[in-house]
Amino acid sequence: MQIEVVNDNGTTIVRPTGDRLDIEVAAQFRSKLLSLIDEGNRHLVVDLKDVSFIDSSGLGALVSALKTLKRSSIAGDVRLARVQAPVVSLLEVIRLNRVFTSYASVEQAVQSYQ
Amino acid sequence: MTTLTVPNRIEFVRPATAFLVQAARAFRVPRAAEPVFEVAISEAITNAVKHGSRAEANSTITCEVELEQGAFTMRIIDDGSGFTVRESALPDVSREHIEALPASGYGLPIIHTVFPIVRVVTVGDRFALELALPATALPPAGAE
Repeated sequence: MQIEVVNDNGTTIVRPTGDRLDIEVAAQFRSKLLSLIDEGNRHLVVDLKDVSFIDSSGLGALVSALKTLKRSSIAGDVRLARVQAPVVSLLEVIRLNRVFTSYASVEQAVQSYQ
Repeated sequence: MTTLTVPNRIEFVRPATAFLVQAARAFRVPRAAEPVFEVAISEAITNAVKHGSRAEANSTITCEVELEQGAFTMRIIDDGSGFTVRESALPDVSREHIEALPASGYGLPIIHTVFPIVRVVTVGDRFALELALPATALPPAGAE
């Protein structure tokens, strides 16, 4: 899986390009998110446009990144953009939709940090 | 009964999951159309990969599917030493208590949201995680 990273006006947009964010690639994804945070990125937008399947490993990577940011001295957040319907369903089933704010577009997610 | 045996390695989670989902759809299990159904199966197989190996190079996972007397049953058989299935409620998550939010452990709760019957059984000298939908959870035979 490739992970594209773009900076837009102080917000870091992370886009995993594979359609499955599961046990096979979750460690790579988690490592990427944590290294971005370690480098000082605090406003993260995860663009899930390509992801139609996510399992507990992929969700765990998002939760780890969020918890790391919340522990840091500079407030930060992980926000989601372009979440596909199957992923929305799972977020609702395990109630993580209460934790992660989702936006219909990357632009809206970036704007939410301004 | 339909079966598939694959090496107990992470890269075989996807094909094993696809096999079981396809089998469930072939049996016209209504919940097989739901996204969470595939996730639940993937979690069960992932559990076998994580915990079901005796660290032998030739360790395998066998997936069994059957529809018998109206009940749909899947068994994910591995080379582990078994475990106790506990009722696992979903964590009560909120943005106000992110520190208490677990970064792992969602697998079994996801499985429980789909399958009312989740138990560890023995198959020969191996252990299996058995996931079942009772007949009452399925439409009557011949129904569309």
